Amino acid sequence: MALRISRRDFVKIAGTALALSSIPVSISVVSGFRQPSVSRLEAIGSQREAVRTFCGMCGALCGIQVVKVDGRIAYVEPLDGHPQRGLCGRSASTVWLWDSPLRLRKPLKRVGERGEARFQEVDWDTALNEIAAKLREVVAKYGYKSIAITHHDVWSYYMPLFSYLFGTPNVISHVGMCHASGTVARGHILGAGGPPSVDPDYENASYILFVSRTPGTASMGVLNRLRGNRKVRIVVVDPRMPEIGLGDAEWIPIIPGTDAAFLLSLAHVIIEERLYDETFLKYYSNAPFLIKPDGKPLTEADLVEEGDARKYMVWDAKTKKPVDHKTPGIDPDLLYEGDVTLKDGTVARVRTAFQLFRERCSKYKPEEASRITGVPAETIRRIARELALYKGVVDDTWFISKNGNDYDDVRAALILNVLLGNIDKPGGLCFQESARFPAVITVVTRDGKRYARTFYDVEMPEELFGDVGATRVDRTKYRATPATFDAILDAILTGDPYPVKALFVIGTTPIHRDMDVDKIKEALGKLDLLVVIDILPQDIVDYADYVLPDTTYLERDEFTTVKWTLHAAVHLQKKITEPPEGCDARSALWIMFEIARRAFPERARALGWRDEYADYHKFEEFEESLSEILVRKVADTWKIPLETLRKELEEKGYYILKSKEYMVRPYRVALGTPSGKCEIYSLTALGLGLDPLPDYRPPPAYPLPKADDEFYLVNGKGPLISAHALLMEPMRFFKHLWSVWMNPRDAERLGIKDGDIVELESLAKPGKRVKARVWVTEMVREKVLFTYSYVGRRSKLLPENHFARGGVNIHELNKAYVIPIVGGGASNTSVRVRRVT
Amino acid sequence: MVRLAHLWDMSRCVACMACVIACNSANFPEYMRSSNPNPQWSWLASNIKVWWISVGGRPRVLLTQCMQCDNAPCVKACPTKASHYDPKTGLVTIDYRLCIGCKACVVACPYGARWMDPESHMPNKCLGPECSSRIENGLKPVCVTVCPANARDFGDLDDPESSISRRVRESTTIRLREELGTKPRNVVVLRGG
Amino acid sequence: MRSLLLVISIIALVLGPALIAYGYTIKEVHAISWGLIVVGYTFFALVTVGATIVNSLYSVFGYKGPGEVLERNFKYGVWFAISAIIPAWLLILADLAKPLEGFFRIIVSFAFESRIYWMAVLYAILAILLVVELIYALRLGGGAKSKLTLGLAIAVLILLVDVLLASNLAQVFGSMVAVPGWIGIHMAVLFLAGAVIVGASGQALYISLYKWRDKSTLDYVTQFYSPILVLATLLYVFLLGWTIVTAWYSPAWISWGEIVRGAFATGFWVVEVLLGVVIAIALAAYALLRRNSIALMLTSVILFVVSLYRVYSLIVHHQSIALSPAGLPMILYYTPDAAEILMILGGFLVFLALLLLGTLLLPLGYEEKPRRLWIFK
Ligand code: SF4
Ligand code: SF4
Ligand code: SF4
Repeated sequence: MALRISRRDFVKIAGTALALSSIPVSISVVSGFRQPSVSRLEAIGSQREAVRTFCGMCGALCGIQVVKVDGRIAYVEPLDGHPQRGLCGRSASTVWLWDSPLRLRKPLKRVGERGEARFQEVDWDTALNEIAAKLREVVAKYGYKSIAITHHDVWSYYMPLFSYLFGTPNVISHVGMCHASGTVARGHILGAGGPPSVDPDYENASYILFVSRTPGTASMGVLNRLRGNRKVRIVVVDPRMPEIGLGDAEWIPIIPGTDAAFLLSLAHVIIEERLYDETFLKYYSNAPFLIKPDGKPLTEADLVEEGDARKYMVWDAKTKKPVDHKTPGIDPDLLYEGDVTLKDGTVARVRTAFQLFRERCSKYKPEEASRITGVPAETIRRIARELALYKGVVDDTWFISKNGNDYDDVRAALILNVLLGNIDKPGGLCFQESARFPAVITVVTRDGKRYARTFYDVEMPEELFGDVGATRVDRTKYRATPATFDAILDAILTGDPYPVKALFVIGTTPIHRDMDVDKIKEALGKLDLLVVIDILPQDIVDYADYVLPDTTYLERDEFTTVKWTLHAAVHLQKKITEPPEGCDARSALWIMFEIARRAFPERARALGWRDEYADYHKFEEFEESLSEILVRKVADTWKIPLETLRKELEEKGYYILKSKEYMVRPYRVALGTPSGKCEIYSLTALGLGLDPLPDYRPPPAYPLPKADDEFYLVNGKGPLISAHALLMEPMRFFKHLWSVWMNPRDAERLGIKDGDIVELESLAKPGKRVKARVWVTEMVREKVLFTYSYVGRRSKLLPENHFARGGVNIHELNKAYVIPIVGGGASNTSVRVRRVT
Repeated sequence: MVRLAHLWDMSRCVACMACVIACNSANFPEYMRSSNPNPQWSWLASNIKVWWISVGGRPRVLLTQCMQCDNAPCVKACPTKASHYDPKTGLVTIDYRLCIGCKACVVACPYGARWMDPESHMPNKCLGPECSSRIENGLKPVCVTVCPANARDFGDLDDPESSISRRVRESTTIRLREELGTKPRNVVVLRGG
Repeated sequence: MRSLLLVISIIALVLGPALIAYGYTIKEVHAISWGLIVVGYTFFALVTVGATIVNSLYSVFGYKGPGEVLERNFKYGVWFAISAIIPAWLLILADLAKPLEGFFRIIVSFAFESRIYWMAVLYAILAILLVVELIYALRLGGGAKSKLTLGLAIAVLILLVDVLLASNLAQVFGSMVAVPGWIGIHMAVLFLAGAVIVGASGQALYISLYKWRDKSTLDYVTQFYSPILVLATLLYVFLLGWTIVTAWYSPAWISWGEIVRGAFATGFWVVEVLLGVVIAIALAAYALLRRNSIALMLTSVILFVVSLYRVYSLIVHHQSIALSPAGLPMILYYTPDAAEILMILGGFLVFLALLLLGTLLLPLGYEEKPRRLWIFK
């Protein structure tokens, strides 16, 4: 083998011998530079080992395999056959995460002011003891419910356990700033839940309309399924072109915050051109329900004494009288409008829900909708007809907390599917098969006493529940919300409805997640205790009293459901590596238990924690046994021989418990809505005091841009976007991540060139200014600026010139706005632009 | 003969950059943390380049890597025969024992597919070492296997049964800058089949 | 005085290569592949070629020049050509990753299709011929010329090799389809015409400087070199004009257009045209008409520098604007770094040191003969 001589050695040789001549002296020995390419060839490829697991770079958890080359984690590949097959640029960056120079390596204790990011490394015992002591102090003064925990997807399975460990109801996720409006709407219209509980059948769809969603960027598994479908036509409606538009998808640039007008206009065309699925509407939706002038549905209780208020009446065209919608053999009239005599003898004018909806939609004739949305009327008509012709599906949205009127967007989107009758059919909007996965905690009652029972069969009696039963802070304000962290901020600031004094932030970064950074910072300043558990220095870390380093997904075991698939499936994650040298990271599960053991020992014990687990190796055995137990329970539930399940998981990494069965809901199984049917006229919304029908309202969250230099500033995700992945080195090279996007025509008008620096001044919060680099691109609509989420970092723990400082954190420019009752936030805003270089 | 080539489908790619990143970590692990890993391209140490282009006012992305020219200017320019056609695979390959780092191939490549290694001052190009090793072991290159959008393929154009040949048959395809006479093998799909 | 110069030139001769070697160890990778070092190399190679062509007027064609200035200074001319080729070689080797094995690797590869392969072959032949010519010329003394002898044969060969060399070097660039501004035969003719300009101006300066006390020789030098410079410049302008006009109709316009009326236009019009054509021709004409050797020396300096810029522009500017794989123009930004500038300085040090050393140590004068060690004074 050629001797490798460094460049410096070469200087010596060259210097002494003046050997720079063309005479070929000792060719194989002296060769100026080292030859990594050759040595690489020798080094790489001898031993290649693929470990099947699922990705943890974002919350989607796609199936991947980590390829080790000669023991080194070299790259990541999608896991073939996995129902949610990876991957994306985030996942590909996994290789950088493990020993990232930014990685939090030791517990840190704050020594400066909050926000100064001056920390001192402490050992685990010190950190945990001090946190526990502080926690006891807080609880003594303000009660258990003054503790709040916020999180994102990671560790969410264990959150209920943490809630019982700390005796607080206030475990409040990111959802308010993500899919809250969608989740509420899904519940109201389809009786479903969070995003994957219903999802388009990507594999079989022939036409998909995505509204305000970057398809296949949160979960690449979705994209994989979509791209495996050779016949599908994809249309995306968004102020900025989602990445899929770069390919063969049709992009319809729309004015921000006007999706509902667009969707209702589609519905208008579909209804007026009679393109809807009449049978479906009649029998599987509440379209034929008769609605009284007061907006309430006509029920049996209205008509006869002792009548059932849950028997909703429809007009039977055969018998020409109102009957219970569930009566067999009837022919409900969709368009009925007439008088019925109530039990008290009064006559009420009733109209079908369909008529009401139709009337609502007629406000948005294509020409009118075009004026609002900026989408040509012809396009609206065409899309409506195509949807009907292809039996299309309208996606149910995902990250939607954008403009403060998003709840109506999702309702309109869902109702379109109902109009098309494309529910739970191949290629339609389908219900996910439940994996019937054991919950981490269930409350059981025995002998009149309640117990919190964990899946690993340990029970905590109710006297240790603390404040778990109290009303969550956010629910006191937003009755229907899945989670609204903004309410926690209010509680910290005002003490209303009760004080929140200690906050645990687990694997999430409120400063890049929640609205109004100034408000967040003010609230953080008022806390008695702020603990951040994370892998990397997110901005929130700067404000923490204690920072505790978490493990990455490569360093722990996990067994859970496959999220983004219609099948019921589970997959297994095995610990692939230890944390790198010098990184004393611990799993958040261990951390939370250990804090509880020190603060509230009786709870920790009652929930199965043993003192010996303080030893991390013992804990890892415990953690492994948890996966074991879950596997066993799943095997039991599904009556699969344990060995079969184990072996399959071991070999393939995943297991499909039940393939998607179509035509079940609402056809054979009632939905979770009050009527058990798809509700285009939402009775739940009605009950909450909300408009039972969707409507378009101009975005209430920010002033609309008017002047020449005023713009909408909108944000979104992409296949490289997650709070963690964005800090990985390769991201530095993708300039589109670290710039605000501006349309070339706007740029020309304002004399701005690609790469120029501009100053954005918030119209929602005058005086609030941020500088950013401009990327001039056709990928954003005129009059709109776009920025990705999680960019524009400020943490002082990042090097001064770190690339992640680039871009705009939209939350520095927006003002908190939460949709009443629903609880969804609004991240978009509007700005005035000024060129500074 | 075996004529291995890459296929990249413009109609499917979503610019997720998984291939760009995976190429880097698989083939150039020693440059993962370097502050300036690929000065030639101001890019990461990856053999794939990304071009944001606009086709008739419509934004598109174009991903390029070595085109595996059948009439490769880089091979012609090479004064030491370090750049050559691999007899087994037909791929344009660099023998680093022969390469002297004269950069003629880098200048010669009309696709800008080569970049000088900042450490060794030798040219890099697709396929990188790990991918070469993978195809020797019957695996596809990393960028192909990682793609979530099924936008990539790799295989023998001379084998009508190969998946790449089938995709070429079923799609509308182009080769980039054919007018130069380089006979690029790599296929760009405009409309997928 | 002589020993002081000797010491200086020896120091320069050590320092030059040291600078090049040091530059080699710290050189960096740029957006374009062939930067300042290749420019320097090409420049020196053209100096040699140009000087050889001028020399051949005497050695091949027997023209002795006014006042026999060509014959009387022939050995100086030969040495001048040799002095330039050494830094050229040093620079191009230092531009490689493997300088020490580079030449050998090329020669044994038999990569006949590669222009660079033929560069190495031609250089190998040239090296031998130059040594032979030097020894022959030095040992023969006088004008070193006897008709139909070995001398003529060598001279013819050298001229041939040099012309081939310049054209082949030009086509190293001229055959790169990747660089639209290069592709074509214009590179060869431009290189040859350019070589004459830079070779003649360099020689004129060199001879004028060491003969600066000899009024009559200066006169003859002026008489001989001024028209060469004017004619060669006019030829260059003619060829360049055609090149640019032709480029208008081809992709080459992406870089030529940029040179003529874009990012590089100032340099083009001020340096290449105003300085290198208008002023240079005016000065040379003045020098010729007024027998003003100062004017000639000034012209030579100007043209020497302008030539360096021309080579830079030809090599770097055209590389900086390329067509992307999508067929769209793109700009590659390049500024030479410290390493490259050091290496170029090193090259000039070697060049000047060799000139000085040769003048001091070798019997280059018309009447001089070697006394020591075969070739030394
Ligand atoms: S084949 Fe390998 S080396 Fe080539 S671009 Fe793909 S990942 Fe990179
Ligand atoms: S694309 Fe470039 S490097 Fe690849 S074979 Fe063609 S000329 Fe050579
Ligand atoms: S991995 Fe596939 S989708 Fe992602 S950028 Fe590469 S080619 Fe495009």
